[in-house]
Order: sequence, then structure tokens, then C-alpha cells
Amino acid sequence: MTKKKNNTLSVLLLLFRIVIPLLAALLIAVSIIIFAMFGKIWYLGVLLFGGAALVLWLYFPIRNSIWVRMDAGKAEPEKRKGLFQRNPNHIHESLLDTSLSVLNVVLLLAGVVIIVLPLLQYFSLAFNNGVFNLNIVLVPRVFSLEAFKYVLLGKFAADFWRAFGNSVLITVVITIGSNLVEAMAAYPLSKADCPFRSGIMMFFIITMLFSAGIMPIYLLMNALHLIDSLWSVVLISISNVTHLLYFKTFFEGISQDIEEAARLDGASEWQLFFRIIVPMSLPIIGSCCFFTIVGTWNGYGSALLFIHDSKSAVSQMPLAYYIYYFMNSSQAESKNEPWLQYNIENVQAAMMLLSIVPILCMYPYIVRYIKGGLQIGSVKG
Amino acid sequence: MNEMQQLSDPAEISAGELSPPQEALSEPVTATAKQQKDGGFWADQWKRIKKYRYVLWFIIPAAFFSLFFSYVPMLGILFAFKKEYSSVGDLMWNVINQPWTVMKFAEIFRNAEIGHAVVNTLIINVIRLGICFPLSIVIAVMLSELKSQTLAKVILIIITIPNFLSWAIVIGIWSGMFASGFGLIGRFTGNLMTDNAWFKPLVIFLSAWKGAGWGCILYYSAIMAIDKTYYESATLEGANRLQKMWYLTIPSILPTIALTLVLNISGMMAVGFEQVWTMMKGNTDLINSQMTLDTYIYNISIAHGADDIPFATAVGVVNGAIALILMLVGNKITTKTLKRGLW
Repeated sequence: MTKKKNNTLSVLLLLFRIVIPLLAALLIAVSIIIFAMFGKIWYLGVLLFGGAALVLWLYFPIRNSIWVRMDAGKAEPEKRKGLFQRNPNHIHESLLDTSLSVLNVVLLLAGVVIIVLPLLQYFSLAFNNGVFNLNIVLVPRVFSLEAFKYVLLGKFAADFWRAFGNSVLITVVITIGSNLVEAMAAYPLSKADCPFRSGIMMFFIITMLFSAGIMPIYLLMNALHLIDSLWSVVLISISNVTHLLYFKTFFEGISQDIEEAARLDGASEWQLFFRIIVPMSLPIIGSCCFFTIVGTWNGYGSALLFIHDSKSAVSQMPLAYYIYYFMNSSQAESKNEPWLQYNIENVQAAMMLLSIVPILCMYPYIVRYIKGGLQIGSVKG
Repeated sequence: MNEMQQLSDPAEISAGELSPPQEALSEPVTATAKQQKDGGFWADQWKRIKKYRYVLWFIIPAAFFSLFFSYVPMLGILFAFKKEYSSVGDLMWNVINQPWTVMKFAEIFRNAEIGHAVVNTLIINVIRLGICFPLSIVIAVMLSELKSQTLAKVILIIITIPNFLSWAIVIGIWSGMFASGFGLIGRFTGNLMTDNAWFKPLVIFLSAWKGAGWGCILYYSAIMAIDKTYYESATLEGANRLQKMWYLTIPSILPTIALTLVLNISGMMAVGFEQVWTMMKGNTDLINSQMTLDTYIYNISIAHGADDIPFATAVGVVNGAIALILMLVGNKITTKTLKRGLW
């Protein structure tokens, strides 16, 4: 517990703790002055304010990482009291530890910037007026909602709404259908003495291992007259053996006593499954439904196989596929409308932003999922 | 299990005289010592079928979909053995009336474009494995080394955002970044998305941008599950942080790493089809330096109508067979080294 003071280091750290908050305060002050006095260059003010926010956002984690937060010798860790933690036990941290912590935080924040910067830059197009596209730096240059109005009400609005409805429809049908079918199949397979169990498992696993290629499936759908129709996408997505295995592993973990008790009370197999087993398996069913929803909403691989990307098939396209089609065909389509020619990228960005909205609604579930760690089957990590 | 346990276990008493199934299962079954009258294998099976006679119907829907949409297309492999497929007649007409041949498979080896496609696929996958796979692990280790775990959770949530965007959106975003006039990167370097020399690096970069965050959740959870007392004893032994990372953190998550590595290697023949096709579509010339195996098969099968259906089927069959072999090899490796299978 000796206080070994490394003089250069502590002077540098003191400078760090004083200079950077001063810099942030200066930036905020200048941006306020710009807002108040120079209206024309308001976006410079926004940038400076954002710069101040960025500096502070970078500053506090680095500052927190420099001091150790170890509760050595205590039975329980004490609760964090907020951002301004000091070094309670004056444990000497070596220069290597400190510099590693700083490097760690800087690299991770650089990674976050790499992720967030393109998103901000591109989606600010959706709120921008097309004439000023060239000058956007992370915030829209001229705030306008014209692009959204065009997507929702303009020339392609009927196609967009149709595609949105198609996506909602197939997401609901595939999620419910696929998970119901696979959970039902996993239930008898999870019993140890189910007859023909290994044969049936082999039957399902072979479909995971070997696929005959896309040509035979296309010929099959052609024979069923389902090409250029949404039903082909739905039917091909219902069989999902990965989820079957997850359900099976989970059901094996359910104790048999509950089923015995239910059978003694006179429950039929149907009631036993739907009234007892399914409510007990809500974690795994929720996870699998979540994966299916995200995969179906964002995925257009099956649609690429069965639906031609031509104008005649537009009414059968799910939303992700429609966005792909719109991005590739919009240059040709916009030849007759001058407004659209200037704003084509804005309209594309607005369309994409609107298609993310349902995923944003699922974000609390995603956060809970990430916080709770993986709860799938035996890979409890 | 001793006799006391057997006799007092109510489940065993009420379950009757069923003996455990006699075929080998993939997980151990606790054997009951209560033997039944030896009625033979089939009497045993019949007893179990009678016990499960209502529950077995639950499997029917999944079996129907698997049968119809995975096994019936396997019959389509017949078309790989036919000389040609004329669109005059329907499926059955073509099966009956067209001549049989094996030469379509030989044509695969004579085709130069397939060679380019396979080479591209392997290059992209090997480099992607070398970059994205360690990247996820490195990010997870760095996140776990943060002092403030709330910040780690926030960063984790932000990093996984691109995983929930569709490939059309991701490629749209980066087309915007690389656009010549307007893009933040494009105004300095020119439009790299339409440059053929930059195609493979961009495929790998976008793959990492979208997928690294999601992949690191698995490793982050595994690292969080490591016992903290190991770290304290490592500090007592005099390890600094780098040594703790290298000798303690990484070996503890080695099973997870090995499993994911084998899964990635088993999927070596498949680059993401949606990603590559969407990136190629913006650039109208589909040339050899951009074709991967999936997109080549899609191009000759469906993209602009199939010229040679037997050839396309043959290529698809060979692709499926290679993927099958890789999966079986991968499963054998994990069973031998990690004592668990891939499924």
C-alpha cells in the first residue's frame, strides 16, 4: 500500500484531467455563440456541439479505466457510485496496465465509430434535400421530410406498401409455422424411448447435410406453379432443422415428473404439449422466434431463387427484396422525373430506414438477449 | 444406480416394464436394471409404439415439409444424368424420353469458369476466416478487459447493430460511402465498389463489418463465465495483463473457438450468396474475378433462364456433395477432439 508516485505520469494525467474538460467546455461555448449570433452557419454549431459531446464521451471511459476498480479483500463488491470512481485501495498500477487500458478503450471506441459513422452518414440522407447531398457530414444539410413523403405517398408508394405487407405476412406465417412445426416434432424426439428415434433424427439431419442444389428445387416449384409467388418462399422456409435440434435439447432438459403428473390428471398428449410443455419452454421458443423473425424480415435469398427481379413480379416481393430491386432499377425508372433524379439516393435511404423500423421495435428483446447471454441448448456460454 | 434407488423411484415403478432402447443413441441413457420378460426386439418396439401412439403424430408436419422440400428435390438429381432438358414437355416427359448420359459431370472439369469460381470462393473464405474469425475473439477479449462492464454492454449492443440490417441495406450504405462525389471515403479514393480489383477485399470487409459484432457475443459470454478466482491466483503468481489474456482467457474459451472454427471450415464452400450477388448486381458485368461458386451456380441456373439444365444440376450436385463431405469431416473432428458432435 505504499504510494509510489510516478511524477511524470501523474503530471501528464493531471493535465489530461484538466485540459480535456476545458476543451469540451470551450467547444460547447463556441457552438452556443454560433447558434446565437450566426444563423447561417448553424450546422457548424451543430458540429462543434457534436464534437464536444464526442470528446466527453471519449474522455470519461478513458478516465475511468485509468484508475483500478478492484475491491481487494472485501467480501462483497461495493456498488458503483457513478462515473467518478477513484482508486479506493491505492493499488499501484503499472504503466503497462494503464497504457493497455487506454489502448483498449481507444480501439473499442474506434470500432464503434467505424460502425456508427456510415450509419449516421447514410441515414442522414433520408432527412436531406437532394440538392445538397454533396455537403452532408453526418447530419443533414437541409432538414426535409420530402423523401419520406415520396416513399409513403409517391409514385412507388403502392409497390412499397405492398412489399411491406408481403414482408409482414410472410414473417408472421413463417415464424409461427416453422417454430410450431419444429417444436411439435422435437417433443416426441426428446423422449429417450421414442420408437424409431434415431431413424427419424437421421432423416432430419440428412436434410441439413446434403441439399440437392437450387436447380431441382426450382424445377419443383415450377411444377407447382409457384414461381413468382410468395408461397414458394414461405414453403421453403418452414423446414428448419437447426431449430428442431435446439427444441429437442431443451425438451430433454424438462423433468419427466411434470408430464407424469399431468398424465395422472388425465391430460391428453395435445393438452400436455400445448398447455404445459410450451409455456415452460418460452425462453427457447422466444429465441428461435426471434431468429426466424430477423432472418425472414432481412433475408431475400429464397426470394432471389423463386421470384424474378423484374417489374412484373413486383407485387410478390417481400420488402428486403423490393429494396434490392429498387436500388438496382431506380436509375432507369427515374428518367422521367427531374425531382426523382436529384433525390434518388434520398428516397432509397428513406425506404431503407422505414424497413428497419420493425427491427428497432424488437431492440429491447435484442438487448435482453445480449445481456442474458446465449440460452440455446447446450451451448450455454 | 444402486438397488435402493431403483425400487424407490416412482417413475420407474409406474413406467412398467420397458427396457431401454437397444439401438445405440448419441447420448447416454441411464439403464434401468428392471428387466422384462424377454419378448424380443420387435415386441419391445411394439410396446413403445403403443405407448407413443398419439405423440408420434406430432412429427408428421415437420416430416412432411422435410420430405417434400428436401427429399423430393433429391430426385431431381436424375436430371444431372440426362443429355438435355427440353422445355417442350413437362418434368415427367423429360424423365422418360430424354437419353441418359454421365458426360455432364465430365463437362464440369472442362469448364474454365467453374475453376475461377472455386478459386475465388476459396480465396475469399480463407482470408475471411483469417480475418473475421480472430477479429471476433479479439473484440470479445478487449470487451472483457474493460474496467466498466456497462460500457462493455453498450459497445456490444452498438457493434451488433449491423447484423440486424439486410444485405441490401448494408451494401446501399457502403455504396453511399464509396460514391465518387458524395461519399466520405469515395471523394478521396474514387468509387471502389465498381472497381474489380477491390471486389474481394470489399466482400471480406463488409462481411467483417456486419458479422464480427454478432460473432463476438458468443465469445464474450464464454469469457464472462470464467471463474474470477483464476485471475486472482494469476495475479498472485505475478502475471501481468497480457500474460493473463494469453495464458488464461484464451485457453478457457478454446472449446468454443474450436467448435466455431470447425463449423466455419465445414462451410468453406459457401460464401454468403446474398452479399456477393447484391454486390455484383450494382456492377453490371459479371466477370470472372467476381464469381463465387454460389453465384456461378445461380447465374447458370436461374438468373437469366437456364441454358443447360442438366449441367446446372450436375454442378449443384457436386457442390452439395463437397459440402456434405466437409460437414462429415468437421463432425468427425469435433467428435474426436471435443467429445461432442456438430449436431
